Amino acid sequence: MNGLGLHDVVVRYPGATAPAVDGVSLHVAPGEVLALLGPSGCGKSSLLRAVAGLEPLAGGAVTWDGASVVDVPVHRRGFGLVFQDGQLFTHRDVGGNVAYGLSSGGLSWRSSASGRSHRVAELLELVGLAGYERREVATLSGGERQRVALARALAPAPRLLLLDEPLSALDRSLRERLAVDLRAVLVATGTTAVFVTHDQDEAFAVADRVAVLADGRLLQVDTPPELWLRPASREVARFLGYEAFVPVGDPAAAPLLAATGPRSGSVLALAEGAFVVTPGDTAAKGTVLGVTSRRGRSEVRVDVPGVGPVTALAPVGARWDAGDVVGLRIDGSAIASLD
Amino acid sequence: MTAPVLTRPTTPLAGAGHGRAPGPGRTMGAFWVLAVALPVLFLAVFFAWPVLAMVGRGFVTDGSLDLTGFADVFSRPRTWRIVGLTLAQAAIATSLAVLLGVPGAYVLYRRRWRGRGAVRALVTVPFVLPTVVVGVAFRSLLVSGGPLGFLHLDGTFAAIVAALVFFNYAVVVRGVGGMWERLDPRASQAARALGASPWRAFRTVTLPALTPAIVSSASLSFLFCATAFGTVLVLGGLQFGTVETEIWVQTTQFLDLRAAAVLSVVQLVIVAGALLLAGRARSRRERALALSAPAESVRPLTLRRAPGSPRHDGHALALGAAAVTALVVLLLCLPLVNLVLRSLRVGDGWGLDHYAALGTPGAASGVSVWSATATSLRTAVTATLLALVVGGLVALVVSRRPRRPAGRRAVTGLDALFMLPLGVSAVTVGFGFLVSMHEPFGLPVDLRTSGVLVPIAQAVVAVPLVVRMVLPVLRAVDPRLRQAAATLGATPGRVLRSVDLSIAARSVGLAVGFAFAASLGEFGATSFLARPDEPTLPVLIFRLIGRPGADSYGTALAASVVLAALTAGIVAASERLRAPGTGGDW
Repeated sequence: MNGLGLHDVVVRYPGATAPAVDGVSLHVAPGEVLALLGPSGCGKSSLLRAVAGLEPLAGGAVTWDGASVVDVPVHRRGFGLVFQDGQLFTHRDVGGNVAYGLSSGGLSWRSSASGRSHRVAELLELVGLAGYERREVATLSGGERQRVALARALAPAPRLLLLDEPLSALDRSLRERLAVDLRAVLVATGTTAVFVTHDQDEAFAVADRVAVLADGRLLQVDTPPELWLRPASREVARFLGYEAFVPVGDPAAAPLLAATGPRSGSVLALAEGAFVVTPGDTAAKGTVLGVTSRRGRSEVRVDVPGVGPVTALAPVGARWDAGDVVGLRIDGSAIASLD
Repeated sequence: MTAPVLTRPTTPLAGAGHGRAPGPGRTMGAFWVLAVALPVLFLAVFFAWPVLAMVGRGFVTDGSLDLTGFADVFSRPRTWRIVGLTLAQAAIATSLAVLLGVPGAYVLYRRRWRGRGAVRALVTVPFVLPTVVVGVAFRSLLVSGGPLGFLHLDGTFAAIVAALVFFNYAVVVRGVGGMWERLDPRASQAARALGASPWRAFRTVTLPALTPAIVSSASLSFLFCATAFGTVLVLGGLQFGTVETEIWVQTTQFLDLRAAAVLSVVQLVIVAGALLLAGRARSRRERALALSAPAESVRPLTLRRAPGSPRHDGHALALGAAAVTALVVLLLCLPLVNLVLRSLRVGDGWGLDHYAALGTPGAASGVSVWSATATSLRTAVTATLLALVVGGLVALVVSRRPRRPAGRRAVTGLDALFMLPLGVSAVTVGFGFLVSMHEPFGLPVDLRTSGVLVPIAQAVVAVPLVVRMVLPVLRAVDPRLRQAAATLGATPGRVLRSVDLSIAARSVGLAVGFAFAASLGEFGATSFLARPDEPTLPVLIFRLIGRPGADSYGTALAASVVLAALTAGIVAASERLRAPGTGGDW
């Protein structure tokens, strides 16, 4: 099996009762980007550190191209690593950071100083920081630091790149822009990567496949659309942002099924926006609990009988007070079915 | 623009006299004026004046300035030999302390293992031991007939260097360890993931991050070595010495005040250099270093490789550091254990005779060890109180960051001013007291015979210690805490009490302990000032070892054990008061 293989991996911290990672098996094909998605404390970072060789395995195996790397120390695995806050070396300038991994080994750009500086320039250009070689690390913005960290990790052409929440320390608009850039860089370099995040939008933007973890166990691995349309369990669905669950047999499910068409599962999961406030529409009715605004659009918390409190979308500028009863239209594309 | 002033009180240097709002502001203004004036006055009267009086004796003849002393003293080969010895001793001892201390810092602060707390405390003991006791302990180890007598090291350069390393190992371990404990391990992990071996990651990432802490500790260690007095006086005999012991020899043996004055200036220059280096390194240390909570970065230390971790993953490196540290700890124990054993040696057998003799007045001095102990404790309590008040006020003032550049410069200046007692020879201070305190300022009292000068001189020596321990804690107070308190309606006085003082109180315990230990062991200045009928314990020990006879020597050993136990006990007790992670430099 080519690429990265995880076989029943267990990571245990001394003194902790439950293992941080509990029997995870996964496969990442060459050139593929896999996101490890889960709430904080679910063991995704521990799993990543175990793959890097920074945490000893309590059980199972990590393989590359079918051969175990358990006995290979961190620096000989050829797995690159990018941390949340970059961990740039403050006593070296940007060029010195990117060149750090180039000083050993036998590849062509490593053999000479000019080869190395050529490689450094090439990578800085790739991450959009051409000409930054002599800049001090302290003068960089948060986004620039992460770009340098990415260039540094990619410079020795690692066979696998591990990214531990690389965008989490940045503010939202920058994070969304960098997620797109990150995806472009990974695809352009054909890098095999494992990307840890707690943000599903980020995971969906960057990864080819997403693995959802909770309490150290793997819940589901799928492509982003598959994951979204067919979450394997209520736990996964809830983490993806589905906020209400209605059994198919429930009377409240009837108008929902009318909108989605027949579904195979036994439970319907409703994402935000499954209801749209439409005056005069009588597919369903709900009582307004409160109104918030996100990016100009109104979001109305409504209590729908048989469904519970959900977030419905509403046209811009609409006004309601708590206690108003409003008519709701149903958007079938925001409803998934669970087994 | 009064709100920021309320939340971040500027010093009166920058802010007073500008017609600030009446009420609490004025009270605070008065407080800050007092907080600056009191320590400055104390330093002027009990440090600057005696030192200048002493140095003046060397340079003023018949009322006119006479600098020929410099040419005269520097033309003597003896001077150059002493300066060379001082620098060589300090440089070699500091290098050894760093070479041994860095692995020690790793093992004692970066790894977790059973008994670590006890070993950390043990390692600190030599540092707080009175210098005279260190000297006596090494003598008793190295004399012919002692356990290491076969090495013939008694009275050699190597013996002095060994004693200085013994003394300063803790300075490096604590200084570097405190930093290392909080250093984010992910920087070196990033290096490892980039292909660096454990050793290369240490050399190229961890070591540069630690360099400011290492330089800072090394310059402190250099300072302590270069001004070493008691230890060198006991171990060096006539052949070896430092500038400090030479000042003592010139004043007390040759009565050559001019030479002593010149040497005092020489020492000040050496020490100022070391302090300047330490200050530079310290300010660079504050540069953005990625720090983490110790709990995350400290790993257990095991003899075997952790199961599931590969070879070549740094385990051998950790074991090497552990082996070096174990050896050093054994060597540190050697003089201490030997001191205790020797004090129990009576003739060819064993017994408590020397301890029993502690209560009987000695032949020549007429003072028993116990009464000297009482004198020492009494003096040290007074000295500690003085040092705490003066040092605490200085730390409080220096922790402020006035917004006006002039104010900031004044604060920096005050900080440097109160570090001077670390650098100026204690012998000079002591002798300066003798010279200046006879009818001071024309007052018809002779302070020299009253005995009050001893605690004052000890306080002068202890003030820099208090400042260095309390200041980092106060500086680390997040200004937003003060702002939050002020927005909750606290007056500036209440902000000071409820934020600064309550946080600093956690470091005060440690400062008290170290100040007390320093006062208890102070020898350089005290040896001049203690009245013959009221010697402190270190002074009495020095007298005892200078006297022939096995009984005097035995009593000196037993008295050294008592003094060592006292200081170690006090520091250990105060260390327990310390909140984790609020250590300052030590």
